[in-house]
Amino acid sequence: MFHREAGVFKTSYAADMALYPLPIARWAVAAFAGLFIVIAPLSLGEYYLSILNLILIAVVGALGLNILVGYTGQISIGHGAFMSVGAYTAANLVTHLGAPFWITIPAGGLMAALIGAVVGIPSLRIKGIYLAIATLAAQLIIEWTINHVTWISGGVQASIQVPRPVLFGTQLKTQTQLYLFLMFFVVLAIVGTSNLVRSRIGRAFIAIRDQDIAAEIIGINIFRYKLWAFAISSFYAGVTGVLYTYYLGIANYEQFQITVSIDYLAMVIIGGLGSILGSIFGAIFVTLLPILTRWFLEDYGWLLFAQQDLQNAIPNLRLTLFGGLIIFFLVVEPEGLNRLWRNIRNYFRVWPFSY
Amino acid sequence: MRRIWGAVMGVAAGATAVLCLAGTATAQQKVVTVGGMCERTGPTQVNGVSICPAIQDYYDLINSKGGVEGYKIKYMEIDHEYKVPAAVEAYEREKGDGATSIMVYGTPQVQAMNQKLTEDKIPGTSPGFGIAASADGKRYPYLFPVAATYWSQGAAAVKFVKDKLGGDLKGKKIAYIFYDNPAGREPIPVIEDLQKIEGFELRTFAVPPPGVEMGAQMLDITQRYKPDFVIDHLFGGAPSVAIKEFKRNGFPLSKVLALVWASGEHDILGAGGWPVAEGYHTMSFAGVGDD
Amino acid sequence: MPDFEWQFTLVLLTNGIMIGLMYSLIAIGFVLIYKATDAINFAQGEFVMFAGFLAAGAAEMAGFPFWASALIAIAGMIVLGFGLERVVLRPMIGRPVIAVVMATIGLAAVLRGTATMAFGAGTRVIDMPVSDEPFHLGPVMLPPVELVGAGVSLVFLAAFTWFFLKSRTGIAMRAVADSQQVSMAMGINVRRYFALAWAMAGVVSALGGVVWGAMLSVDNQLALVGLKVFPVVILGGLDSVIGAVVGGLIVGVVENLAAGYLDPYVGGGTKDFAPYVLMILVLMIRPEGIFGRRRIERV
Repeated sequence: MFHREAGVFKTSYAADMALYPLPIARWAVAAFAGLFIVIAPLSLGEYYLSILNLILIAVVGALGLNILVGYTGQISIGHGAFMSVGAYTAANLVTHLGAPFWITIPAGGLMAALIGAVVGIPSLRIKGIYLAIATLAAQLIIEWTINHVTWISGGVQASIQVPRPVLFGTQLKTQTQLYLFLMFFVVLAIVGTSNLVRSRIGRAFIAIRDQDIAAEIIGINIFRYKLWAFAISSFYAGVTGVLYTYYLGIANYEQFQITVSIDYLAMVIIGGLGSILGSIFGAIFVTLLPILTRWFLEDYGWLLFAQQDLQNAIPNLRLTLFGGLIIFFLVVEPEGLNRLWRNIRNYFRVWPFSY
Repeated sequence: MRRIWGAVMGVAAGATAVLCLAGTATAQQKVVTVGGMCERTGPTQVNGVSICPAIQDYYDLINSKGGVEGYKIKYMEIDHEYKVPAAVEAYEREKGDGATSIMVYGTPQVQAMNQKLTEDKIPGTSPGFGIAASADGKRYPYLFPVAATYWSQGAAAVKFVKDKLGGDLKGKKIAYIFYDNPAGREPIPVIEDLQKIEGFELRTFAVPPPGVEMGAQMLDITQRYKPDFVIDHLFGGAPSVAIKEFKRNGFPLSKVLALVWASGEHDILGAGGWPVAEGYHTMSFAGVGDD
Repeated sequence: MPDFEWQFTLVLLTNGIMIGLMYSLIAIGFVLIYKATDAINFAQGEFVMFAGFLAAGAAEMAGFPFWASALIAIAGMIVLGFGLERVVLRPMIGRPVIAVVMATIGLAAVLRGTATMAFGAGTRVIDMPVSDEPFHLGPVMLPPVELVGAGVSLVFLAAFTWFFLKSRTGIAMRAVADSQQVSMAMGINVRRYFALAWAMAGVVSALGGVVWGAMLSVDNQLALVGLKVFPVVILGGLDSVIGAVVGGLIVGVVENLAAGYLDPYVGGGTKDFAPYVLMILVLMIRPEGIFGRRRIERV
């Protein structure tokens, strides 16, 4: 009997428009926050924290892509390129100017947002699949530019080594410290996105996704809002790129190629287009998939493959599973893991009186 | 050829493991863990698929002969598909499992691992790629490039060409064809420096990834530039394509020298087999065979 | 070397034309699928790769001669085409574009993974019984493999143009592409034509795989030429077979000229870059390409 809305009466507009209007939602969020921010870093080992760190960074990226693809309905295959823009901006700022992270992260995001807006300019004329192909071209062109323009890429090597961020004089080195560092940005991203989609801009995005011609008729300047969507989404991507740089220790465009863009697209689709929880689910799912496949095959793989084939099989199996799961989700549950979660939640809403 | 080469790398990694043994506390079962990374499904998978089993075979060989000073070596291999985040995760896993040294695979991975290795004080080996400057132990105390780095390969290549062309490179033309990414570019500064010293003419030709079509570059090299020698620094699927393209354009393979990663058996086979690649010069870490 | 320049240009042009026709081979498969089922196939490169693996695998494992392994590849790809249409495309009918796109992207990953698992990651050779030595036509060199590829492309162009214009099946397919509901009302079995379109695309990919595999040798990376198909079809028009050929020619020539003339200034790699810039320009000016049909959006 988890009647969620029963007995909740709101007496002011502020209460009605709050981010989490129901008390049970507030408790749930607080519990999760406590679990992930306090308990997890203290109790999990370094290895598991490193996996969580990768997931955290992916969440930020997935949120950004979901804004563009899920809320505004524009397909973008260029997410990886925007990440590399952010990464290289930050890396250059660090190596040339020694800028601290609270400058480089916004700077990387802003630079990526700028490039994202430029890439969004064709959306004035083209839409749908043509826009997707244009973003694909942008991905490849940006990759090429970074590779060849040495003052961006730092010379022949085209990758820049970046020291760990320094917070109040201590360098953040251990996985635990990095976890809390990344968690800060993830919380910021989640809160920001939640507020964005409830705001005027967010509603304009949703209108564009649903019926863009009707939106234009009622007075939404769709070109301007599309550019905003590209810019905001690329801002998130840029920040993700910078976070990767700090976490991995280098900025290298080879890590942000088209496979990465496709990974993030998979995250938002599997997770659920147009929902924040969906982005989180998707990020967790896609990041964990190769790791879980590897664990599984290491322990039980001898049932299926001969020993020397096993090592070969692991990454190929993960690729096959990745593609297969995308297709499976598209066929079976097009609204992704988010819909599955909602189904579960709705079931418990009226349980046990489900009639 | 590949297997023996893999064995050389295995020896190198094993040597590092021995170095670590000196400072390691005795494990209960006399087992030393060495971590390794590999890549079987990414751009350089044609290499990884041969090397990685070879390394495992070599460790098995060592273990079957009693291990190193009585310690069995447990070799953990994790595939990271040439992605740095996966490499970091693999590193943490191997570190968590008590690895005493880690063999890193892939140039960007080496660069990323450099900081972590120094922080965690674990020696890392990067055979045949990675940061060439890590040969300087003072700046990179935890990174050991145990087989020829790109700088060494580049320099060795120029020396070979010099010998082949009669001991003097003044006025000769050398073409350097490379894979258009950081690893491919690494020998360029060395070769350019040598160019100033030796006085030969150099032009570089970039082949963009994935390196499966290079028709225009080949035309440019063979028809327009007509060098006296070509230094070939491609890897992955590209070298076999290059061999075919050279033949197709009528450029004699005896004027081509391939750096280590373009010198595998599969590259020759991929180009059509031994008779096709007659005269192709290759470079290898350890002297193996006489082809 | 002023007297050599025009020769070099000629060489670049011919190489561009040949490579361009080989690109068209892949693009024709893409166009077939789009024309008949309105689906953007991101897995076209993987089809070509898979077909190449089938041919190379048949030749290696069972020692079949070239013609037999080519036929095996064709047969295999037809089966694959039918199967994929059933499993992947059928549930996607009526879904938004992004779902179909993602489904083909997922398909691409599956094909890549299974090909490597089934055939191993080593590079394989396809032995085409044509010589490796090029024909010389003045300063221009024509490698026989590329001639074969170009020839196959042109044959397909002729065949498919006739097919869609004159034959009953072809016209039915065009009807299905125009409007599924009306076609069903007219008694056309839409599902059968979908399957047929995918099977035909499979055949084209099979021959593409054999030719590209002979030129480049088959391995996991062969799939990446599939990305090149996008500039080709955008230039030529997503639903036009002749557009695929013309687009391929343009892309091939532009690539080679760019690589030959711009590379020395920019440090290399323009060949990947130039077709995409061209593609963006075309998208801005005339999104439907040279031969494509204008899409009219109805509210």
